[in-house]
Amino acid sequence: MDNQAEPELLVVNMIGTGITAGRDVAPEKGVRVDGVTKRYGSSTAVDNVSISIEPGEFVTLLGPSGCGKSTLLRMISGFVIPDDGDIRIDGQSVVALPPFKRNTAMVFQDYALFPHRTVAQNLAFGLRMRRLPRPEIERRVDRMLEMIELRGLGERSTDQISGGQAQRVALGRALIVEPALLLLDEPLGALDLKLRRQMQAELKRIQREMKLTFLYVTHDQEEALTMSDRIAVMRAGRVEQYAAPSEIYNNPTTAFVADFVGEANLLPAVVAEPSSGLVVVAGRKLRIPPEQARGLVAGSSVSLAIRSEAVQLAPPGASVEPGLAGTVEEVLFAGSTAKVIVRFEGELTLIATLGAGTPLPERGQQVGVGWREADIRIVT
Amino acid sequence: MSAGTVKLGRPNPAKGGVALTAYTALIFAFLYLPIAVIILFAFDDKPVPGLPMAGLTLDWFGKAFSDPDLMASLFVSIKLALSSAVLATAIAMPAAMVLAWREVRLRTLVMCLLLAPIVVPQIVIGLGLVLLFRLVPDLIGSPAIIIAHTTLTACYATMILYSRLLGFRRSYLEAAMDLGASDLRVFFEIILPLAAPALLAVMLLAFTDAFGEYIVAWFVAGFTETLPIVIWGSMRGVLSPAINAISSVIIVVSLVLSALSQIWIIRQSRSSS
Repeated sequence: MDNQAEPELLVVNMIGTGITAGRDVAPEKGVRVDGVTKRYGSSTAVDNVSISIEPGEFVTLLGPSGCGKSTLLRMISGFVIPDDGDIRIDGQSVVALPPFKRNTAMVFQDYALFPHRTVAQNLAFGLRMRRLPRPEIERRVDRMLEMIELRGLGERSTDQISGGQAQRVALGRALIVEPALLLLDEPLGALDLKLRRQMQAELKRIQREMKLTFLYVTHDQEEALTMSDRIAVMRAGRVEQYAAPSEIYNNPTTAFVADFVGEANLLPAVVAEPSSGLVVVAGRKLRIPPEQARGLVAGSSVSLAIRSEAVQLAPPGASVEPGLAGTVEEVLFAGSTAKVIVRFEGELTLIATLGAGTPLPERGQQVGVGWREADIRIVT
Repeated sequence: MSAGTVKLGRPNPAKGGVALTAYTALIFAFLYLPIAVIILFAFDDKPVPGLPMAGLTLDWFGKAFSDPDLMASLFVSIKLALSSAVLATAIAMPAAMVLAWREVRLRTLVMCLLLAPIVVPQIVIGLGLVLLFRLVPDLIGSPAIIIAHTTLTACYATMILYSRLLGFRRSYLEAAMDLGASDLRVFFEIILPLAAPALLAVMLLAFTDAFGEYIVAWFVAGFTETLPIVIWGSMRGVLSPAINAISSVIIVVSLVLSALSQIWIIRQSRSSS
């Protein structure tokens, strides 16, 4: 994305030593994915994707299944060879390297713990492959067992531990080699909700403490929002938006991002007067924030995105700006929140999320609907 | 419980049990009677065995184990069968890995062709091998028998290993590679230990098959005498009960071996799944 901003590397970068021959240029740190493309037959799994990950950053690839996020992860780890583009880790291009020569480590969705090895042997595997001396391996395995809170379980076989414990062994086995980049492929997918929440916090703590770079793949937008420093929202092989969680949530740039992250109402709109911020939605002129109207062309079609929690329902007999009214089609109670689906004339529906304690309307009731102008986003 | 409750679980063993038991007994009799007769007559003290048995004796076992020709051929057979079993497994393993894990064009055709040594009559294979070994007459004898039996057993060894490797989680290999293991180390650290039970089973099967195979071996044996060849040769004269005795030993040993390997494989697959 920002590879134009990088200094041109005119010199040979000595890997891992930080020594550069020739001119004195600071070695590039972090991960650069640069115009990477992968095609399978006639379909393009990953389409000209560029993202950069800074050292110590927690980046999430978020998207529905089949959006190319796992393929991208597998290209970085070396299991899939890109058709085009470059991937650099700490300045070194890795596309020509086999997986076992890349300084990345992966946490697999199914954990892939070796069934013929104990917990401790699983943890030691990467260190043994690096031919570290035995006492050093033992010391680091002990420390890792402590870190993942499995002290005393080192001699257990992998089928004598719980799912949550297996998850932590998989994480520890990857962490122990101190990779330049830790890749996590939906690692919490197999855990139940409560354990997943707990592990999210755990992962975040470990990442912060070890100052590691994480690239996390998930289709769970809540997980992505909670854990990430930056999120790359992917769709059909492309990155739709790459930004901090709050930016993704508050200022989605595309209709897809607005809809996929959080829950947004998307209303088809036609730009009426860009200068005064007027658009036409379902035959009504509505005002949008001036900064959102910037760059719009009169007569063009756009989408108006409003978060469901920004939609306000008027008390009976009253109305809220901009004074729309519809029929309550469904009321879905979900404990801390409730969703109300309001239907307008024609096919248009809006979802409003109401907080706890808000009086809920009845099905079939007429209700006034509105929002604050500042909550409107224009997406393409 | 109401009268309409559906009864789940095992069917009542008392009902229809007699017929089922008889049927099972018949099947096992059909399978094992020829074998049982050999074992039975190994203990008959008449020089020409037959019913009714006059008395019981262990002499024939002594005779068999002190017969130098019989013993020599037994060891030849063990040696050759072991060699071809190891060779067949060594050839089958890489083939199975490629078939299971790599993109193979015309995979179905390749798999069908693999079965040729099983579906082609053994007498035809024997004839073909005779013609082939005319080109290298020095190999006739033990090496030719090993090669022939390797051909016969490697095909189904590949099929068995292939089906085992299909159930193998690819992520094990990827995880090992990801943690820094080269292809060779992945093979020795992950694939080999996890496939060991299947390899052993395949080797055992190939061994038993090669050990007992007569037709193809006879074509290329030259002056080499395997146990089946000696037994067949002795049947043209008077069938000595010593043959029954040695056969009994072989039957018992191979039954025990295959039972043990089966139990081991079942245990292994239970713990790994």
